[in-house]
This record gives sequence, C-alpha cells and structure tokens, in this order.
Amino acid sequence: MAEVSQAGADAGAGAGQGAGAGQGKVRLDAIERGSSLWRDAWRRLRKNRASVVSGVILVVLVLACIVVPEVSSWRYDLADLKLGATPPSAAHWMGTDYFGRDLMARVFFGGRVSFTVGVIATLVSFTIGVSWGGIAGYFGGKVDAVMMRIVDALYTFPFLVLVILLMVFFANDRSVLHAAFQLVLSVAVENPKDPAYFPIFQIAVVFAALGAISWLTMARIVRGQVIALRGQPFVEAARSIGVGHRAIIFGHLIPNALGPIIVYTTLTIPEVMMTEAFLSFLGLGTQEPLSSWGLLASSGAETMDLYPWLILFPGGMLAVTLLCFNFLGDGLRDALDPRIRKD
Amino acid sequence: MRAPSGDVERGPRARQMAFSGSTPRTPGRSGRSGRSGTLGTLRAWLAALLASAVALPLGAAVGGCGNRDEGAYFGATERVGKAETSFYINGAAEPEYLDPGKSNDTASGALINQMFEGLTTPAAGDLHPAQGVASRYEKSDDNRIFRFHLRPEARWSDGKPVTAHDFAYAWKRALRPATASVAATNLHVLKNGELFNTGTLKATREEVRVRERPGQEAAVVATLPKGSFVVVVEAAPAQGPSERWVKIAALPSLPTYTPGQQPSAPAAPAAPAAPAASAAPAASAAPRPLGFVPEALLVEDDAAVGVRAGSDAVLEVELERPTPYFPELTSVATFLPVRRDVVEPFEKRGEPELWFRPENIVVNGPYVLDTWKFRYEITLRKNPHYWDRERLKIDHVTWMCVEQAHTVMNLYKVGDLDYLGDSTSPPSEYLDSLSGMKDFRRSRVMMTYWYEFNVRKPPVNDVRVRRALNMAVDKQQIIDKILRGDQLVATHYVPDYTGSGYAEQAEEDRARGVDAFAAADLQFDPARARALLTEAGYPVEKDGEGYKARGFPALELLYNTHEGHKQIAIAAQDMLKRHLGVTISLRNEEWKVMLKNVRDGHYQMVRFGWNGEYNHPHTWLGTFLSNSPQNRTGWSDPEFDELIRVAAATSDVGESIRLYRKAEARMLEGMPKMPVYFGTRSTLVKPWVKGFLPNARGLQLMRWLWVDPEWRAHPEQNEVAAPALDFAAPGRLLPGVEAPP
Amino acid sequence: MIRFVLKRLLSILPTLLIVATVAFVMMRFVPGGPFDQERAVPAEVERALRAKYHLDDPLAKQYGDWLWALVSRGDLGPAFKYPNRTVNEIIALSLPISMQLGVLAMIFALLVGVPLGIVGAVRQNTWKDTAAMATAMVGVSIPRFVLAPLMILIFSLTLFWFPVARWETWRHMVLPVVCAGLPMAAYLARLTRGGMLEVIRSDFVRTARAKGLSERRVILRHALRGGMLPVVSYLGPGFSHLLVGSLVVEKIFNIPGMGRYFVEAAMNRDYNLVLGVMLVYGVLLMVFNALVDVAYAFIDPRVELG
Repeated sequence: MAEVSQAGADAGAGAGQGAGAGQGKVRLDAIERGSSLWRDAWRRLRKNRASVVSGVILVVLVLACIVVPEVSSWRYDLADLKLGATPPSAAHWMGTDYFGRDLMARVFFGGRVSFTVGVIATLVSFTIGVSWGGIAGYFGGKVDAVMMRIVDALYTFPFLVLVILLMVFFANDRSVLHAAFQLVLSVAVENPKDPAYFPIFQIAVVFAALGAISWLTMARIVRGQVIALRGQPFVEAARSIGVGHRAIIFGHLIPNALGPIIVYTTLTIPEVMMTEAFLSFLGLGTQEPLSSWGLLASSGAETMDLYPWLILFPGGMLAVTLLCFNFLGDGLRDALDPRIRKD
Repeated sequence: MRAPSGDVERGPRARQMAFSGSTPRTPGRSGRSGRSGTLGTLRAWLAALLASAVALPLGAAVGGCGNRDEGAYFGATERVGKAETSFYINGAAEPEYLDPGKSNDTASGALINQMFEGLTTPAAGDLHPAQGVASRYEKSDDNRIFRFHLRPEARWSDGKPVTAHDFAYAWKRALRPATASVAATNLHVLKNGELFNTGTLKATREEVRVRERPGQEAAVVATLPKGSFVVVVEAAPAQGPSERWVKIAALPSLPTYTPGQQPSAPAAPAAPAAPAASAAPAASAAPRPLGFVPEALLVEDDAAVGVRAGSDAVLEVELERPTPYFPELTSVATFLPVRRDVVEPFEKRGEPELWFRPENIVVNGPYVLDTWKFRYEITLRKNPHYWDRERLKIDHVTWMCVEQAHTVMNLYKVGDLDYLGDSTSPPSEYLDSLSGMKDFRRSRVMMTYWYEFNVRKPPVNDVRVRRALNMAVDKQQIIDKILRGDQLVATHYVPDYTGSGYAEQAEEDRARGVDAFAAADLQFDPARARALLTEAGYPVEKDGEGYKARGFPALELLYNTHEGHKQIAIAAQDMLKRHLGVTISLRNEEWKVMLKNVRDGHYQMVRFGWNGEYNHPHTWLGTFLSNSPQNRTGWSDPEFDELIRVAAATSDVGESIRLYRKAEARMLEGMPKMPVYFGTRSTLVKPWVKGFLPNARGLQLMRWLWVDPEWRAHPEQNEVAAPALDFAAPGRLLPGVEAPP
Repeated sequence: MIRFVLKRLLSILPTLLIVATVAFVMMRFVPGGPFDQERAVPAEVERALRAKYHLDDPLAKQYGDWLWALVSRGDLGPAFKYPNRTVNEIIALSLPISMQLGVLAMIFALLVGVPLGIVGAVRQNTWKDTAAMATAMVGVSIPRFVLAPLMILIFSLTLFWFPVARWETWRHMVLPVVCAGLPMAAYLARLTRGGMLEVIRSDFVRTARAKGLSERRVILRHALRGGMLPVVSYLGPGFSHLLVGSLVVEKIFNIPGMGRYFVEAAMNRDYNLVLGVMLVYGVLLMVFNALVDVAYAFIDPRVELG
C-alpha cells in the first residue's frame, strides 16, 4: 500500500509536481528542443553506470524468466511430496519448497508473473493517466476541476479496500468480468469454461485492480506538464492553423512531456510489483499453483529460520529487480530532467 | 496495561538469562535436533554475519528451534518475573460473544468454559462428563428424560446461589427467536425446542375460534381455550391492513417429565386425532393442520419447551428424541446457566451485548472476567465465590489474542506464554523439528477432515467415481509429508478413538476380526481405483509415464483460502493425476463466498471438516441425516436415517454403538464425502505447567492447571489441580415412580 | 489563510460522500453475508439477525439511515462480527494505536531519511552518496513482510534486545516502528537528495555561494529548504499510507491497530466496519493533505493559496 504511492509521490516530486500542492506551478523550460534532447539524454544515461548496469541486469532477468521455465527440466507446479523441502543441490539449484517443487522453476515462472503484472498494470496506468491528465490539463477550467476532483476522490479511496472489493466482487466465477474473460478466452482456446483458467482470471483481476489505482499520479504529472506547455507559442501556432484538440494533446503536448512520463512509468513498474507482493502476503494476489515473487517471498519469509533458501532466492530476485528499476528510473530522471540538464 | 499482581517488569536482559545454557552466539553448541547439520552451519554463518553487522537476508539462516538449552525444549526454560499463581496463555482470535447462549465461535467458547460451569463438566483426560453444578442425575431408559440435582453450595460470582431456574431461563432464552442466537440449534434436542426457536410454537392469548378459512365470517372448526399450544404452519395471504391470519396445527406433544408414559394428550382439545406418539416421536411427522386464526391472538410461550425447574435444586429435562450423549452436551456453552436479573436489564435497554463486559458480568465458574482489551488481551481472576475455589491454584490468567501462528511461536519461545493455547498449533513446517522436544504435546482430537461431493453433479453423481477418487488419494502420504502431525488416515467418518463406547466397539471389532466397513474398498489402492473408474465409463489408459482417464469431465475441488487446505488440495490434485489420470482443478474462495456457493450447490467437490461437538459418534453421523442442515451433499438415504433413529433410542450402549457403526457403513457405501484424516492437535506447553493432560478436544480448563517452579526436581509430577468429581451411576427414572428428592 | 484551510477542509465532504456511497453499494453486492457460517443457521434466526441490523430494509433506506446516523450522531453503527462493540468503539480503540505507530514511524523516517538524503546530495557522486543511496534502495526493495521476521529473528530471538511482539513499553515499539518506518525513510532519503540537488544547482544557491556565505550555511539555509519541498508534499499521503501500510507490521507484531480491519472487515462482510474504517482513513488522508498544503505554503513562497 504505502509502497505504491510512496514511489508515486517520489516520481511526482522529482518531476517538479508535489502530490498535493505544486500542481499549478508552471515550468517554462520544458520546451521541445529538437531531437538533440533525446540524444543528449541517451548520452547522459550511458554515462550513469548504475543505470546501465541496472538496465543490463533487468534485460538478463527478463530473458531468464522467459527462457528458464522453458528449458528447465522441472515444472513450476510439479510437486514431489516425498522429497519435501531440500536445500540447493545439483539437481535443484535453488532447492525445493515444502511440496518438493523445484524452486528455480517456480522463481523464474514467478518472475514472468511479476514482470507481467508490473508491465501490464503500468500500461493501463500509462494509458488512462496520460489521457486523463492530458485532457484535464489542456482544457483547464471546469473540465479540469471536475476531472481532478475525481482523481482526488480516488486518492482518498483506500487503495487496499478497493483492491479487496474488486477481488471479492469480481474475482468470482459469476461476475460480469468473468463472463468477459471467458468470452476473450473463447477466441484462443477450445474450452473456455475449464476451471483451470480460473487462477489466470484471478491474476487478470489483480492486473486490473493495480492498473486502476496507479494511474492517478500519472494523471497529475501529465496534467502539470500540459498546463506548463499549453501556453507555449508552438501550441498557439498549432491551434491557429486549425489543428484539432486531440491532435494538439496527443501530437504535440504529450510528446513534449514525455520525459517525466517515462521516468514515472519506469518507477511505476517496481511499485506495482511491490504491491503485488503485498497483496500476495494478504492472500489476495497471485494464487497457487501459479507463483510470483511476492507469493514466494511472503511464504518464504514465514519459514526463514527453517528453510532460508525459500526466502533468499525469490526475495533476492524481487529486491534486485526493484533496485534495478529504481536505479534505472533515477538515471532516466537525471538524463531527462531539463533543469539538471542546464549545467 | 495492568499487570496481574505479583508480576514484575521483565526486561529483555532477564529474558536472555532465561535461555539457560550456551549463549546464542556460540554456534558450536547448537547441539541436538534432527536438522542440526544444516542448522549448525547456518547458525555459524549467522554469528559471523552479525559480527560483521551485515544484516542481509542471509541472517535468515538462524536455527529455528530452541536447541540451545537442556537439549530438548523450544526456547526459554526459566520462568522469569512471573508469579506462580499467574498463567499466560494465547486464546488466538478475539472472542465474539462471551454470552453462553449466543456464543458460537471457538474463541468465546474457550473463554466461556473457564468462566461458567454447566450441569456437568468434562473431566481432565478423557473428558467424560463429571460433576459440575449437578452432583447426580437420573435418566429414563430410552435416554429421553433426565433429572439433574444441583449442588446447594454452587454460587454465582456475586455470592447468590445457582439454581435450576438459572438453567431453565438460560436455555429458553437462547431458544427465544428474539434472542437470535446462532448457537440455539444445540438446544433443538429439547422437547419442542426447535419449534419454539423457529417461532412456530405459540400459545393462545385467550379463547380462540379456529376457522376453516381466514376471515371472521368463515366456519368455526374448533375452539381453543386460553393457553393452548399450537404450531403455526404458514401465514395466510394478507386479509387486509388490520388482521393477519395464520394457519395453525395442534402441537404434537407436550413434555411430561415422567418417563415411559405416552406424552399427554395434545393441548388443543379440538384436535380429533393427534398423531400417536411412539417411543421416539419423529419431528418429521407433520402436525395435522387445524384451521386459521388471527395472528394477534397468539403469543410466544416457552412453557412447552422440555426444561423446567422442579425446585431450586432440581432441573427436569425432556428431550425431543433419545439422546444418549445428553450429559456430555450439558457442558457445551449453550447449556450453561445465565442469570435473568443480570441479563434482562440490558436486553430491555436494547443493549443485550453489554452484560458480559467485565464491569457487568456475573458468572458461576472458576474464573471471572477481569479486564478485556479488545483484540489484544483478556485477563481473568479467580471467582471468589466459586464452590470449589479452594482447590484452584491459578489466581490470574492472561489470555492473549494473537492470531498469527508465527507470532505466537515467538512469544512462546521467549517465555511470554506458558502454553500456546487451545486454538493455536505450531505451523506444520515446524512439526518435524518440534516433535522430539520435551515441551511438545500431541493428542488425537475429535476432528474429521473430508471432501464433500455434490452428488447431484456429474461426474461425482456416480458412486463408483466417488469411491474411485477415494481409493486414489494416498492419505498416508498427505499426513506424512504435509500435515506431519501423526494424524490417522480416515477410511471412515467417525474417529476410532471417539468416546461413548465407540472406541471400545472399534477395538472389539478389530480384536474379533470383524470388518464393519468393508475396509478393502476404502484403502488407498490405485489399481482398484483405476478399475472402478473404468467401470464407471472413464477407461483409464496408460499414457507415457502416467495414466489418462478418457472422457473424464472437468472436476473442480473447492476449498477456502487457507495455506493448510491449499497444501492438501495440491497434494490430492497431484495424486489423482498420477494414479488415476484424472485432472482436477483447484479453486479457492474466501470463506464466506465458499459457504454461499456450497449452500447454493455451486460446487462439485469441496473441502470441509467436522469438529466433534460432543464425544459421541452422533456428532459426525448426524450431519448426514437427510434433514440435517449440515448435509449439503444431496446424499439422502432413508435406511441410514432409520438406523440412526433406532441407534439413538437404544438404551444398551454397546448395541446402540453397533447400530451407529452400521449406519456409518451404509454411508461409506454411498461415499457422499471422502474422509481424509482424523485430526491431531500439536502444541507446546512449558515444562513448569502441571496438570496438563492432552485430550480429544484440545481443551484445557484453567482449573486443571498449575505452575510448578520446582519442575526440575520432580519431573514426573502431573496431577490435576482441581479434578472434577465423578458422577455415581445415574439413577433410573421409571414409569410412575418419582425419583427420591 | 483561515479561509483557505476551511475551504480545503470543506472540500473533503463531497469526496467522502462519494467514497462512502461507492463502498456501500459495492459491499452489498459482494456474495456472502455477515451471518454466513459453516454451521447452518435456521432461517428464522438469520431473519431475526438481519432484522436486528436492519439488513432487510431496502438498500436505499439502509443507506439513508446509515448516513443519517452518521451525520446526526456521528454513529457508524454496530460491528457485525463483534456484536458487543460498535464501529465507533473499535475505531476509538484502534486508531490511537495506529496513530502512535504511524507518528513514531514517521519521526523515525524523517530522522533517518532526511540526513541520509542530505549526505547524498552534499557529497554527490562520492562513496558517501553511493552508500547512502544504496541503503535507501535496500529500504525500498525489501518488503516489510520480509523485513519484520528478519528483524525479529536477529534482534529478538538471537540478540534478545527487544520483545518479539505486542505493544506495551517502548521496548516493544522499537522493532515495529523501525520496520514500518524504514521503507518511508528510504523514500525520504531519495526525495531529499533529489530536491536538494535541484536547489544546489539553482541560481540562487550559486548567488549565495558567490556572496561568500559559508557552505554549511548555504546548505542548511537554502538548499535544505528547497530540498524539503518534495519531502513535505509527500508527508501527507505518506502518513496515511503508513497507517494502512503498517498493516503488515501490526499483523506480525500483534499490535491492536486499525490496519487489520481493512482486510478483515471486508472478508467478514462487516459492512459498517468497512465503511467506518474507510471513512476514517479518508478523513485522515484529506486532513493531512490539507495540512501539508498549508505547510507547503509556508515553506515555498511561490505557492499561492486559494
């Protein structure tokens, strides 16, 4: 819970927008300066060793999560009760869990889930947040007031309760969402009513829930940027030659505000992953027999004194990933933030 | 926080001293324990890590079990700064209702057991009913009529005597519809208890004319004098704004409290032919409808309920049907007494929940509620008026409400708790390493864990499929690898060690080689399971390494979201796949959603268990009766119902139990539920706690326990502090013969 | 100024109403009711229970009654799961403890996070900066549910410095407070560093330096003030999130705070408790945000109130 908006406020403040107050402030220097801006940023980013290393690690991790479950000789859900929990060995490089399931297979499969949750929820947040903030900021006045009042209201809605309500309300097999899910599924598979798909549906609800709550800060950031930009001459110019509102917002304003948006997006991914972990701790996130780093870490944490490897590997993966995303996000901010660019 | 007197502030320094023996930082002494190989090195790691102040997750590698002192205890073995007369226990969940008549949750039940005393009280050890407020009783041969004699010295915590009126009031109050007690079903054993509880038993307010149809102009079919008891069958369609009419029937019978005789003639004189009551009047025999009366002329009247105070010292009870285990029932919370003058003022004010706050409550058991910190801690103190107070050795009880099992373990480990408490068990991952420790206790408990089939839904509507599934689950494996609590494989429904003669009968059958349940068809036997499934129309074929059941439809196992259930479900899923080639899917739902879905029949196979509410096979088998609200499976068998009915009415204990077992065998043939295991309870209790006898309900009464500071000197000593007195054999209530006063 | 504060506080009300309404409606449509349990309850008894709590009224009337009780008497109604407690009582008992934990954790976070951030900013790109930020990063990337058992294992079960659980003396509070505050400290460190760096490179700091002010003075007077802006703006939401986020800590250390009810009450279909806890949370969050706005105005003269 806290993790979510903490990173959010962090990014927001970093981009010059305090969560509560600084919304109206105008940033004059964030003006398009041609493509050299991106080249500069890229150059600066490359010089930031922590970011580069983080990026490389992330790429490696993502690749590992894609590849390892495919080539591993163990399946993530294959139990061997006779074996039980064993420490790392030649056969099981990360050991096995309480059911004798290979931890390595579970960790990398869990990585898929964690990354997917992070990326999809962030995409949802990106789409809603950018549109919402862009429209509110561009039109201003009453539109802005109403739209931002809604954002304020949603901020107040205790996120946790919202997710619980969503999970309980929609994550059962007689909800509207489930019907929709089966409809989508029927395109891809033969038997969409097979209950084996239910856990996947539950994760989908987690995506939706996380996406639904993480767009708020994005909307605020984008709105701030757009307000700062909309008075600029190039916007006036575009308007004077009859460019439509939509084209101005999405063709001119948003691209110019892309720096902070990218930074915040990078920081949203780890925050969503952390939230998924938190939900899994509460038993509301990913469900067995699927796995995610959060699920593995939360069950591993309870038995850390008996089976340390069960927390060490998933917890380590989670921590490294979050660290890398944060370093990368910081690096991006340093590279893209116009004020720091001045010297 | 108010510490009980005699308790001093305990600092962590003191606590550190409490771990006698080696200092925690010397890894070389990590000593015993099955996994000491791994742990020893890991602990060495930890020491090194701490020394270099690197607190990374590697630190997690510390040894979990207190293998540091005296070789074999989990954690602290010194009791520091705690009075001998104080006891520290965990009650786990917050009690919902400290009102005996309404309590329905484990947590409040456990506390109520310490604070109130029933007619009987469970004896330490085997929990047979022993003397509580009653010092002797008589019963009729058919187990239907009981007469209890109360001890004159029993007192409430305000000094007033405990009388039979308190019991009669408490039971009728719990049954009263307005009380809305969820636990009142326990009292449905009383004559007319269920009718009264469901609001259908009424008395006439004045002389009433019963009419053929609703409306004052309809023909009169009967006239009932004032105070006649009737049963409301249904509400008539509304007749207008002013008058509501109901269809009534004659009450089949009233309690007589005189054994052997037929129940008295029905109270409604106009009823021409009341159903002749047999020795065991079946509740299902629907009363004959009489006609219609205005609802306003009927009033609630509890006089027809089968309990009354014959005098201050005599409580007379008449039951709906023969209930051989009734004396056991009388120690259940719903049967405990409450005082009218304590409860009623609050009920009248519309605050029926306030009388059991510490400042208001009056109890008749050994301990009084002293303080109550919501969701945190409750303290009890000795009841100064309890009749057996002289023998109690514990004066103050601190009853913590800690729900996280790992937190409870930590509190116990450092010595903040003397006993894990009745509701907390060590997490199963710990059991292997705990089982060798001296402060570890394990006992079989009255719990059967099972999977219920919805016999209306394919594929489990076919009994062969159900039995094949049952044979393909290796329950021993589940016990050995997941539960690790030395549970017994359940091949049938009633635990073998159930009291009231069941254990003896099971033993006798074993000794004589009688196979009461056709055991061969119930054991784990993959080959026969495959054959049976093939026979049911799903041919099981070899498929690579494993098997595949051709054409087997989707089957889903539902369980409520909980780690333990999940683990067992995963194991079962794996076994069915491996041995039977059947792919089942798992689905977890949180508790309330699951209950709703099960009640609505939206399931195929669902996880449930049944905790015996009393030590008699009826508590398990009764849930399979066709009319039992607990029977959600759709399985219904008249022959089974009849066997149970006859078994309950049989006076001879051995014969009665044999009939119960026959009914159980009948049920196993139908296999509406797959029995998985009979539960055990594992717990930890500090070595200085004496009088602790593990038992089948996992129940510990504080009156049994005491603290021995000199426990090292006499380790064998373990007598119970205040054991309950045994009853003499109950007297017989004979027809027409009044028992001696 | 007073007008601004009042206006800010008044604007809370419509938002609260929306929150309450949405939660009310959603809750009632979730399958399962507060009185569902394993042992079947006779229909009559359940009916009596529902009547007692007016759950048999039409939804609109229930909502109206609930709202009226709240507005006229500040009464949030009875809690279904704990029939002998009202929601008001439960909140009155648990909120102070959560606040205590929250305030202490926040103080801890400020005392640790801000200095770390200052070190990072002042000594940018030195090993001190790297160390400070690495520490902060670790705080960001270890979930509390891993941190808490780890700290118990080290500091309670191995070193015996602190009790393992419960909420009594200051000793009991150390571990939970650190656990709850550490992730926030980490964020604050990064915020402070980022904010200060921004200011340090700005013209007015250069001017101050050029005027010959001592480095310490520049840092503390000017840079720190600028660096505090994002920190202050974060404190509002941060604190409320701390209250809920310490759910994990409350659970593991058995602290009788309010956090646990967020999940539990929804699970138990304890409608009134869900609504009550949500409203309290909403009020807290908004009041804090309002206060932060005011504080922000004091620090940053550029912000106009209104």
